Amino acid sequence: MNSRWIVPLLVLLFLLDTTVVPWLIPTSMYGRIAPHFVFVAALYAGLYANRHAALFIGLIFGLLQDITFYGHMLGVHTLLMGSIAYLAGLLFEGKRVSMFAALFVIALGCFLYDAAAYGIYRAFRVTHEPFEFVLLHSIAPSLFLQTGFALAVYVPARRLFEPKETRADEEE
Amino acid sequence: MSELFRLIRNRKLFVLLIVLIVFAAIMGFSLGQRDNLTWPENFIGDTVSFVQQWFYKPAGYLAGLFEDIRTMRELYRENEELRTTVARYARDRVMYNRIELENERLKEALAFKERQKRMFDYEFVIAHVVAVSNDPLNPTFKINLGSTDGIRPNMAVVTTDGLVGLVSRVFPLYSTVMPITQLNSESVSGARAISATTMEHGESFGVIEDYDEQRGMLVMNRIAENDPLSVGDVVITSGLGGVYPYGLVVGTVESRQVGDFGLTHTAYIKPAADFDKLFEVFVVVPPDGEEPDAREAEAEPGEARP
Repeated sequence: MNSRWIVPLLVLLFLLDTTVVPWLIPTSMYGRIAPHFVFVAALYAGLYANRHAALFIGLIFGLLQDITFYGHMLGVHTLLMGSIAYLAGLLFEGKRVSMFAALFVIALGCFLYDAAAYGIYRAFRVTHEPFEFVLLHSIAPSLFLQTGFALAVYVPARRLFEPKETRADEEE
Repeated sequence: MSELFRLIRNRKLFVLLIVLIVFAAIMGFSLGQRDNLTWPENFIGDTVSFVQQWFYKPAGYLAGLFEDIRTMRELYRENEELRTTVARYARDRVMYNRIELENERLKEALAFKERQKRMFDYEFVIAHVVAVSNDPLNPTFKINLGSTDGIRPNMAVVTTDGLVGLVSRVFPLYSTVMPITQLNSESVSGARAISATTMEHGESFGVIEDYDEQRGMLVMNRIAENDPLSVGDVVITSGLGGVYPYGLVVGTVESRQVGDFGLTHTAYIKPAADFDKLFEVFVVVPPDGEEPDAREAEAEPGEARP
């Protein structure tokens, strides 16, 4: 795979997030499971490519989501996707990250993302549900979906984002 | 103090600080009501939605197809139910025609002005849903009507079942709809409070200003102690608040109890509309392109409804 596929693939993931996946969620879980596949991709970029790529992916797709679904306010997703993906890149860039470590980091990142989004909405009084409720109601189920997706795309994502030299090293 | 200066001299930390301040400003600025969006917002919002519409509908049809096969067994029962509904509808229709004619005649007799006559001539404009938000705390969806189609913020959006939400932000070709599950009396954004009455007791009055996520029900406050509202009533918008037009079905009363301060009563209302897997919705456009907010000043609960 080639790096020029990255942008179309990310756009496709963003479209899946907002159009196709909601149709596949069972009615009982609707409004509780939220697909954030682009964010998972941004974390993968941070883990296996570099932190600047992660930052840009996070910022751009966060901005797209913020503006497209402008309901309460702008900037929440831009800030959180950008900063958390950058943070993942800052901590793990250039290190060898095993699959379990990667999944753990992604799960942690998704939790941080949802929790921080809740925090911002709470601070601006957009929501008034207690955190324990939101944690069980939407954050935990979404976390499972994100981790499952991360597991499913682990191999292609790593191949896509990892620079060619390091992969050659590993194979030797 | 010198510690602080040294921290600020650290370039990365300084940038982080500036970024946080800028984002806090953007969030605060974009929180309230905005009638016109800037051109970058318009451009990005419309372009993305233009692409999204190619995906949402086919995905919905495919998902619906599988659903249909699974629910084939239920068709018979559903058909039976629909038959009785149609029979009831035919009967109601006869009555409706008679009442409408009589209403016309009485309006003539009472010399209603043209504006008064047209007050409840709402236009129901069909709109297709093109995408749904993947943020559980900001569950807006996009419809394919925008400011060029005469849509403005705060127009009510309904499905065939009942009230779904309010138009939140308007782009030139698309707009976002905020569902009424985002009702929140503390927030400056989100859906506005609904002044409501019931189909059974036209004189009852209450304000729906919160949504209880944990129960999945709307909370109707400020119901007078001697109000006739009772469990099982169908709640409709009263048109008094100025935002929502008169007569849109909101839901049914599930329970009623004494409110927080003991002076008024509170009722829990089960929403009539489904908020998930929407295909088509209707935007309620008031006559003459009247601003949905314009009549706010007249709203007083005690006033007699026309």
